[in-house]
Amino acid sequence: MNAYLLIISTHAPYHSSAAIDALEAALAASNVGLDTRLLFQSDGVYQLLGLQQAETIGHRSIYKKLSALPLFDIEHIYVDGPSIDARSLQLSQGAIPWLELNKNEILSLIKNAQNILVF
Amino acid sequence: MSAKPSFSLFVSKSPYDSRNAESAITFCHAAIQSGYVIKQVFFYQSGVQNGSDYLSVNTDEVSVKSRWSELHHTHNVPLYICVTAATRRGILYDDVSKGGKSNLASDFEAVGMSEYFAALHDTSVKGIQF
Repeated sequence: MNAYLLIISTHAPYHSSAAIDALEAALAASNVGLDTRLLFQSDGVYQLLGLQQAETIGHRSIYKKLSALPLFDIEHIYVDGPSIDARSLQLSQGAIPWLELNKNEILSLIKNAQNILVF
Repeated sequence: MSAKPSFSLFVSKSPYDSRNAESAITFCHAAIQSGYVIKQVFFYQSGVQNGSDYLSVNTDEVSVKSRWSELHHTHNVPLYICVTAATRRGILYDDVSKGGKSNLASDFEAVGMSEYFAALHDTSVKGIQF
């Protein structure tokens, strides 16, 4: 398996800069040619809700920014299934091509990563 | 490729709101003592506060600033600070000799994030986050 960097995004989109920090790190890593994979876990799964009205708090939608990830060669985007269930969310596949993983799949995703950053 | 096993550290917490920076410094000394090489320490998120030239503590407290400086000078460890994250948090670097403003401590260097990630192409380098 190719060596890959796993970035784990664990924060809700607008409570702190963590979500944007994770996204910018992923883009920078991909930009230098690292195989970069992104996992949304814990409150990070809220970033994938399509109905974000960020403009009402003076921000730009993180969902829209995430939608551009495939254009930057970030095509492995994963979501922690138990985190979705724990929050009773109904996430639908929209512009972001993510894949839902169960607990064991996430363990092997983490185990096989060459490097990991958590935001 | 680096012959010796080596580490790149990623510090993402500010110096006095958590023990992460102190732990990172302790890790560096232990690793160097054990024969490992510290390729770089990279500061991101509120970790950029480690690079403020204005950090000052009481004389009976741990000075993280002095400890980073000592690590840098004794072992030639580069201290890189993410320029975007730093600017966002009021840590500025501009060429003072050309009339610019700077409050980045002199042992730190303002760089882009690619500085950290490019080093990870060498798979003998292990990245660790504090």
